[in-house]
Amino acid sequence: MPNYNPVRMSLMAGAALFALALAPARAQEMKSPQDVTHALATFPRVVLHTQILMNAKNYARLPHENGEIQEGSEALEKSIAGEPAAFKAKVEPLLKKVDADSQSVADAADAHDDAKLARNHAALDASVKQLLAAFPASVQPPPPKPPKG
Amino acid sequence: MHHGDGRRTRRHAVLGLAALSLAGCNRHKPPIQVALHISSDGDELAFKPDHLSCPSGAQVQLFFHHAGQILSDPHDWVLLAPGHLKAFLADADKAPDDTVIPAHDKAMVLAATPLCGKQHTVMVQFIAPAPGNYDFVCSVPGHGETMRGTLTVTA
Repeated sequence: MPNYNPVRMSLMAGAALFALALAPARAQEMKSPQDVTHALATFPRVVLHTQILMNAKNYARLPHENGEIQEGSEALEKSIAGEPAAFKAKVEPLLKKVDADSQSVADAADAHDDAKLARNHAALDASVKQLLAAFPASVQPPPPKPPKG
Repeated sequence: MHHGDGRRTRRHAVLGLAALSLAGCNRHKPPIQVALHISSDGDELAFKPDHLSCPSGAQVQLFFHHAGQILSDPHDWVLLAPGHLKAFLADADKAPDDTVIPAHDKAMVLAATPLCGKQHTVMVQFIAPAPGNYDFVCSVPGHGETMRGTLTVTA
């Protein structure tokens, strides 16, 4: 005959709830968290550096920043290579958007179009923030060091 | 002549020679040699540490290591004459490439390493200037806004 002891039932229910509560946290653990943090950190850094060069109207150097976004993208793809396919499928379009927005900044720099540069840089900043938001809090990088003034 | 006088004369001569040789040592005293080590803060546009110190007149060997792992932008370490930080950075931020310090800015520079690639180390030797605080920066366009620090030269 099954044992319907209420104390035992409560303990079992509590254990089940505890396991459920832990599940999302476990799902957020990444296989190479340091590499992911490192790769993610490059994006806001390049966004800030791009802004500094825009302020100095250094159009010639801006396409070079696009190259650094590509380096960050490659590092990020490598760092999440072992993650579940569903997670990679979520990140991939966000990363493509970052790459495309970065290319748009480089294109506007070639045209010396300050208004377009500002718009495209704002779009890049937003897409980088969306990319970072797709990752768990445990791998979020610290913000880049601000200019010393 | 007494024996005592002769001993005194010899003692004075020996003391005089010793004093002369000590004075000679002081005149040719080799400068203090100091090795300073600094690196980029990983891929961050910052120096680590961002504060260095050495005594004035020291023969300094400064080693700079590019500790970046992802970003391949080069860095350097440039020690500036006092009061030139803003003018130097204004020019550096506008420079179209990172290979040279503009000729008209060279007077602002007391010492500079060559450009350093990712995971490499470069070195510059210089005599530490007069006591005071001196700014150092990375001269690559845009880097110096965050990648800078202070060398304190002590008396």
